Amino acid sequence: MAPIKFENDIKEKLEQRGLQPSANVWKNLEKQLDASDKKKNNKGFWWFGIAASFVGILIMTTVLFNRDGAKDIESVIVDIEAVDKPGSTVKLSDSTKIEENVAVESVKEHNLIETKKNSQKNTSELKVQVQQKQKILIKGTVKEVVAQAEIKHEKEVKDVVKLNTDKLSFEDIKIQEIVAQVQALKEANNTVSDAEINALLDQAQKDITMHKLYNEATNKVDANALLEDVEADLEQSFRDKAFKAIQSGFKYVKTAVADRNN
Amino acid sequence: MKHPLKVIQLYKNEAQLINKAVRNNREAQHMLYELHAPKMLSVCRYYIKDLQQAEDVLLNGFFKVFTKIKHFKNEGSFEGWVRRIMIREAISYLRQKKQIEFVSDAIEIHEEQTNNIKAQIDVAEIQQLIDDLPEGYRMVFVMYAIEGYKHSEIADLLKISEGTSKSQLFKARKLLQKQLQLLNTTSNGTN
Repeated sequence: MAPIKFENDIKEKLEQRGLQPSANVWKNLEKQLDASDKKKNNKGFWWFGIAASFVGILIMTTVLFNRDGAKDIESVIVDIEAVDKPGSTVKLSDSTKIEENVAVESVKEHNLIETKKNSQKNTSELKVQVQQKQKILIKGTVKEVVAQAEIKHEKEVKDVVKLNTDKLSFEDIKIQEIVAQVQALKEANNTVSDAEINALLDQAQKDITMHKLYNEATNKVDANALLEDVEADLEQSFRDKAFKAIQSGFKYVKTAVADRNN
Repeated sequence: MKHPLKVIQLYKNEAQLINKAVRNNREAQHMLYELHAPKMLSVCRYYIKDLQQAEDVLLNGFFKVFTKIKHFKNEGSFEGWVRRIMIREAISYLRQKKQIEFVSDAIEIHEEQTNNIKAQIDVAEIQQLIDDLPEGYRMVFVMYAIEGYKHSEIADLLKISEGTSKSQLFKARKLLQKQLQLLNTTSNGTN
């Protein structure tokens, strides 16, 4: 369909036309554009907020993961320490609380230095030298700590021995007393019966237990010893009761069996 | 005839204005608006009878122009790009208003050697003739005869078949010629 001539005339005339829009059109357009700019800015703010929170979460997670990793390394080092130093652990197992504290301190020191060593694994030879120096230092500190521990241990052992000698001395005195009494009885009567010796031994045992329970020097009663004593009595009485009950029951059964044909 | 230097100057100015408008410079946007608004309102007026409504379409069209200006590639003319936006905006406006009706009477389309009717009428009268056309006729006629779209393009834009586009154009032409003849006879005073 070819264009018709009058259509060309119409086109020419219409193309030359210009219609001036009212002033309100631009004003409204400006308002709309301003509003859209604000929206865009808000969108940017939101995107910035989301990005910031994402970065924050990322940092937090990395920090947390690193912490966990450090903990794992520490625990591994503790195990290695235990394997590497069997002598020290044997000493520690025998030791008192003080020694344990010392051992813990030494382990802590090792951990700190070992973590430093781990952090420097991937560094240059200079750092390796530093590590060697640190190892020497560690060995020095370990030796010092172990020496201190040994000194303390020796002191402790001495104290324990002292206590033991005190206890033994009281028992020895008692034994010596009994021996003297038995000898005196022998001299007086020529013969000493088992009952007399048993009576003397019972008396001595009572005296020793009393000595354990009641400290005359401080006027204090050892609560634990008292409790143990009472519990021992209770157990004994229960055992006796049970034994008596069995004995009577056995007698009853025995007579019943004996008189079954009567 | 326009002086070539002046045309180059204008083009340079427009390119600068577009660059500024991309950076959301309100003054540059206003200048571009002032430069193209009268022509674009005239284009909107081809399709929409009411001037007020045509202004609404113009406003929406320019809003799209300035918000999408960063997508404008300097491959064609800026005016052509703005014009295409305005036409699409006018079509969508009419579609929203449900004012488009394509009367599909079974008319046998045959080439009619139209006589050389010369439009001895002014622009206002031409606009009146176009306004008097039914909505569907008008759109296809304006798009084909004035904007220079092909039937396939019109069919695509208006979501109709090419056949419908052709029939609408044929009917529009027939009606217009009739109206024009009537106008010529009345203006010449002959009956």
